[in-house]
Amino acid sequence: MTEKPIATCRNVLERISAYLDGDLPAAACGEIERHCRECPECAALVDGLRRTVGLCREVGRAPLPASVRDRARERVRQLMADKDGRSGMR
Amino acid sequence: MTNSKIVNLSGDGHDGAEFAALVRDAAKGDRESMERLLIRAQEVAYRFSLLVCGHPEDAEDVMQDALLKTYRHASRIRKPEAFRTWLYQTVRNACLMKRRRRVDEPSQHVSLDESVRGDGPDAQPVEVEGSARAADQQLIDEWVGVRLRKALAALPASHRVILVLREIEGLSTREVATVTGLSEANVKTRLHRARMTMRQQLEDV
Repeated sequence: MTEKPIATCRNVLERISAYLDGDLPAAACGEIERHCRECPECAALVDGLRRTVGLCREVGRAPLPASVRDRARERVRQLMADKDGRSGMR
Repeated sequence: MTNSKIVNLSGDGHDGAEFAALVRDAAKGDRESMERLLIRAQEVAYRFSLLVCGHPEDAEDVMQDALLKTYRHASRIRKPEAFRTWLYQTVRNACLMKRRRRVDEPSQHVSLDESVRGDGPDAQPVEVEGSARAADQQLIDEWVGVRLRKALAALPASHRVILVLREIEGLSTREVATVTGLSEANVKTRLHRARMTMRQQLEDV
């Protein structure tokens, strides 16, 4: 007789974000992992969600387009030059 | 399951600490730190404008606003650790103000938290219409990727702002709650739904 999964598919679905964020206690993580070893659908869901989050994070790490960065630097240069000009007039 | 180990995807606060350090040094008169802070503030404004609000023509104004407010605020801030949430609140407010002023939009306030489906006229992030904006669109697609842009567009505005702040900008749940004025529990609920929708959209990636 195989060990009955402790977590149900519904349990996994409800707690998957907390699981991925590391917000669950170790025992709850163990339940989800045991369930996923026996349930390919839930295992795919966990892996898919992890990949999705990873893709989003890549955007956050990607440098902005060069033209945008150039304009940002130019604005800073102008602001600091204005500030220097005002300081010099005093 | 191919990977049974927990991967903690929570924000690590690294950017928050980096912002705080820049603010501290800038307030002491370190010019290089001030310049880096001002560039970072504009980058935040650009990403938020495009990914959450979806108006590239507004992004430049929102960047300018973030630049000037950061410059004025940085030397007076009492809690450098709170700078990052202040910045996102400032950028969010600037985006809201731009939307209110747009002549082709209703005069009433349109909240970024409003539960509008992504296919509504105000809820399409980074969807650029018109041939004059084609260059902007190409720029955005090269940066974000077409699939991810469309997946973001499919989210309700109230979920998109949470997903962008948490996953793309890397804010903690508590920081997102502070920026949006929602409870942490509400942020977690919306984030979970947003992630599930994004996964459906990106299923074959």
